[in-house]
Amino acid sequence: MRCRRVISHLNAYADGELTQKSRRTLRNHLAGCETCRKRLEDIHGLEAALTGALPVPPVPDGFAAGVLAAAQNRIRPAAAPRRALPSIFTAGCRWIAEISAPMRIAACVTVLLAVATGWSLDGGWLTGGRMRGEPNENLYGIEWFDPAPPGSIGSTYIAVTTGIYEQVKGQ
Amino acid sequence: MKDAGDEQLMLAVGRGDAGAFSEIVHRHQRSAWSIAYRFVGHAADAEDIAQEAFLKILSAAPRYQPSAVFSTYLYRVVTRLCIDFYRKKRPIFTDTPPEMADPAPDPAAALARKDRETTIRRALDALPARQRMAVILKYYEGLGYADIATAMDITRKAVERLLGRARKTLQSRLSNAKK
Repeated sequence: MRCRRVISHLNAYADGELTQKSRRTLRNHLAGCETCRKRLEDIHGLEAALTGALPVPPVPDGFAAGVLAAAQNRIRPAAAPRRALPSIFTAGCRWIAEISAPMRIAACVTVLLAVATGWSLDGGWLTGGRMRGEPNENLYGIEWFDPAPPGSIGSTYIAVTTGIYEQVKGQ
Repeated sequence: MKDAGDEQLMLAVGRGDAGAFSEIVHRHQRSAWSIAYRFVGHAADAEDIAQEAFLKILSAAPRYQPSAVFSTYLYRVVTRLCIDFYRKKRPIFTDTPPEMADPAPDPAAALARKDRETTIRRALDALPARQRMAVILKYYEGLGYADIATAMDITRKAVERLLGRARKTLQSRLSNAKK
């Protein structure tokens, strides 16, 4: 191994940071090269000069107390973790909170109508169960050209709202 | 608390445990202080840096992940603060090394020791910040290249280069001082 290459690795060699293979290679070179040996001695000499030559006084009195005093305002107990609600639920709540009162009423009525419509399609009491499972014998009949043919969501909606109206009227 | 590992203590600090933080400070104040003092050579500045290091560790505690040994994390925080301090303030060396209990009763030996300390101090102060920190971590904290690299957020090769250049400068200064 050439001196130039050895010198570039001499610091790592002195610090014990080379692999076993590299250490062996450098050791073999150093055995036969006085210049590189001298450089290594200089590195070790510097280490001896530096070690113990920079004493540090004891930690100042009250250092820890000073740190803790400065930290006093920064230490806050962590709040108990709150169970996260599903994001769609929180988004929905936020939407309801943000819209105006008339809009909230309209939204509730729409939801109720939708629920009632779906219930009626399933044969709820308002439609007398006519829709449930009944085969449509008149599939090619003229009624199917109606805007709200029998069995459709439109006809059910009309039946529901008419039913509600008749009930209210009857009261 | 006293038996808990540093990483466990730090996790407790993240949950707001003041006792855990106090234990961390007491365990590691010496390390933080000695690195800062050797770097800046001035007690008041070193105290400020060491104190700030613990306050920064406290602020970051809720995000602390024990992915490395705590002492390496502490070295990194102190190193960054020292180098930032150097960039802002460029510390001026004070001529008076600290008064320590002298093991050598011989006045001539004591004087020689003080001269040596002054010479080393001046030589270190002449180094750029990163070379100086690499020397301190290597020679005075006994860290290997891997830990120095982590503390300084550089590669091992960069650590080797920093130490190589620092040694060259120090050797030159110390041999000039002898003449």
